[in-house]
Amino acid sequence: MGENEFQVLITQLKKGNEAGLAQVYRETSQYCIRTLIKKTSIPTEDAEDLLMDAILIFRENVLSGKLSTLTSLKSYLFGICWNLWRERNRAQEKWATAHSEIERQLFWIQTMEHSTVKEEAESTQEARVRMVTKALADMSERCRKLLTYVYVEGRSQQEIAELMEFASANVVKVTRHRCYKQWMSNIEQTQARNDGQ
Amino acid sequence: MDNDLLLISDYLAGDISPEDQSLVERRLLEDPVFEDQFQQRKAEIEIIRAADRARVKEGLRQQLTQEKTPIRFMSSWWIPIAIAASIAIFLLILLPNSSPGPQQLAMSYLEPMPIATSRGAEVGSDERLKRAFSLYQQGNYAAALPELEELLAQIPENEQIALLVANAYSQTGRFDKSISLYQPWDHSSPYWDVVEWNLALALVLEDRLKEAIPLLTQISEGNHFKAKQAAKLLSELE
Repeated sequence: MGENEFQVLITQLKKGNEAGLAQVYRETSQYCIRTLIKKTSIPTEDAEDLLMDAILIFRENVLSGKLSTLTSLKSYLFGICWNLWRERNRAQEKWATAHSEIERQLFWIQTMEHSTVKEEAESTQEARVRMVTKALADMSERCRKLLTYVYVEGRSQQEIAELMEFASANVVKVTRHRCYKQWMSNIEQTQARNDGQ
Repeated sequence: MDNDLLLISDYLAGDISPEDQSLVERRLLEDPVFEDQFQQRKAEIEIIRAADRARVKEGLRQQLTQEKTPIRFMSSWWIPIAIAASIAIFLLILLPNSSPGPQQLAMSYLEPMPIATSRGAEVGSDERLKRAFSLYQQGNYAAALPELEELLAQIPENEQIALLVANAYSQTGRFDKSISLYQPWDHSSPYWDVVEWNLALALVLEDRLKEAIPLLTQISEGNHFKAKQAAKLLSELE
């Protein structure tokens, strides 16, 4: 991907068009997946998954403005893949060394058999995820977009002002405060309804 | 309270003055109520970020699937197997009008074992198990086998994994191994019907028809969930 194509991709992504990410995958998969397998001996599907996650980080870096020029797409993505693999590997090593064999067996038994406690914790967590995402989905499109641009995509106030036709970055901030409070209020109301049931 | 909420929202948005940033960081150390509120707000942001990532990842996956982009790459160990499989298919095509033998017939009945999704989701929290299940579900039985066997060695009482191991042996053509795993199976097991059917197929595939036919007859005559298929296979074998 040349510099011009990359700039086109940036524009597309900033407009919310994610179709170009497939092209990023196509251009980098052969190099990244093969190199990952060669260097780390991880299974192919893990390497594919790492590359997908790396592409998500690439997208976020583009949207937040951290990445605006690129010399080599595949080297950049491989760098992210490599860091992701190291992070995951460190987490696995920590688990492996922190548990004695007996603890591991206990872990297995707990994992394989139905654990009420775990199920309850998972269902509470799932309910929270549903509540938070629904509270956002229930908001006006303008508020939802604004909060997503700020908290998910990390876009600058100035860029948001231009994109959403706000008079200034300061107006973006005031509107963000209002939308954020609305979001929190939606969550609280759903929580109160759930607690009352 | 509202001020705290907005202060936290500014901090999480990265839109905060250096003074307010220091204030937030100091209060995080000194005020547990504030710290608790901060962690909750941060978790909510992480939830919507994760949901967005999941959405984009799914979109990307679907797009690649629709375009039929080869996501998979052959590692070198797989190439001889692929060549052998291609030759086998080629030879099958070259055998005109020959009626299928018992092995070919039984092969068409051999199916991968379904993985119980409720338990799968539960046990899927372990990386190794997730990897093994994923390989199996993708039909990469040769790669799934060592993973599944290692898991089975750790939890030999787990019948679901034992079934997957036995079936993966059949899928990779090692019917003797799968028979040796199916034969000692406890008849009172809830999986016995599945085991019985798979054992019958493995016996046909191993060309042990003298043992396979009585078993298929028994399946076809009983209230077995594969009774119809067993009867059909028996008639085809005749």
